[in-house]
Amino acid sequence: MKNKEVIEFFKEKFRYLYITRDRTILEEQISLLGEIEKEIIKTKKQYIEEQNESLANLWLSFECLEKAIENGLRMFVLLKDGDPDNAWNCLVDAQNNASWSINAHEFNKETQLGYISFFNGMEKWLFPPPTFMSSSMIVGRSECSICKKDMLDCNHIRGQCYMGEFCFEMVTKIEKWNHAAIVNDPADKKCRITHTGNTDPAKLNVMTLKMDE
Amino acid sequence: MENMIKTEGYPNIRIKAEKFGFSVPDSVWILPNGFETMQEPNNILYSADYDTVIKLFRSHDISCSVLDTNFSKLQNNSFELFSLPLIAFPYHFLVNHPEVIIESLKLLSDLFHKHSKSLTKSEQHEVKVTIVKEERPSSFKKYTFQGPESSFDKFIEYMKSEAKNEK
Repeated sequence: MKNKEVIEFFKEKFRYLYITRDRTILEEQISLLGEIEKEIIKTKKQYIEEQNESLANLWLSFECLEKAIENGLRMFVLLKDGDPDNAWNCLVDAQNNASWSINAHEFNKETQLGYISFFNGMEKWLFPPPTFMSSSMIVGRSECSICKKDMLDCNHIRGQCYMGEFCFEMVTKIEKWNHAAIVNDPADKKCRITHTGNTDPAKLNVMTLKMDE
Repeated sequence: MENMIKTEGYPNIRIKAEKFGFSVPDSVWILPNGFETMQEPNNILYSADYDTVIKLFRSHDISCSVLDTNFSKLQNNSFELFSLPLIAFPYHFLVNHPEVIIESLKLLSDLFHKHSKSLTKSEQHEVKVTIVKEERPSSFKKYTFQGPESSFDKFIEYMKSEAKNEK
């Protein structure tokens, strides 16, 4: 696939991201996206071998947007299946991947920001407002995901993209847990209160308001 | 705009450094937040992105140093665009590198810009940058910017005008 074909492919997928779409059609699209993902990863690897950083990052960006759309479709399938907790996890994966796509490479701002806005909108329209949690810890040692050196000993910057790969920090030694907090903007939206109630463990599912066994 | 930038006097951290046995480097000095109120030189905690600042400066030939002792860093997993350390500019370093403050702030501005590409207009995130400038030997001033990433360049302009006024 050429760059333009991939971009047109992504633009066209907006039309499937509605809860009214037939379940079978959504699943067909998920399967199709899975095939496209394999092609995208193959092309990205070629550019990495050629040491073409700009194109490797572009195809990483495509890979992220593909994952975003695939997770968006999965979210609707799971909602249809009555599984809002896992649908939420798919939405968070869709949001994250859409953001990473534009951070890796801005290939079509309108489409990329369009997906980001769309998934942010879905959070508000489809789900009750969650109570997010955040952990705080004292880190003794951490290493770079790209070169595996101590985080201070290399020049890779966390969150930036290098030759088709994101740099992230891998914490290898936690000295102490500091606290947990309820926050408005968590680093990870999957960290949320899932159940409440007076029982141990709590059983009232805050998504469904049903008592889970 | 005025609400986003705050300036205030700052304690003589040379004295504090000497008391704790730390040396003041001939470079940009990356310090833990709240260094001025630190009671003892143990259990020093840097904010999560102190290493990002060091890498960024180092890769642009701006020499910088941390406290010459053991320390850890505090990782909060609530969303912050960046959790930055205190960035101090010692007088003897500024004398030889008068442009370093503006250069440093421009690097931070580019970094913020890169990392906020995925933010839509309705979800602008705040950044907080605190720098300490030793204006004359042992006379310190603190400048804090806290506001949306898109307004950070106004802080650079402010610091430029401060430098002009000094001349």
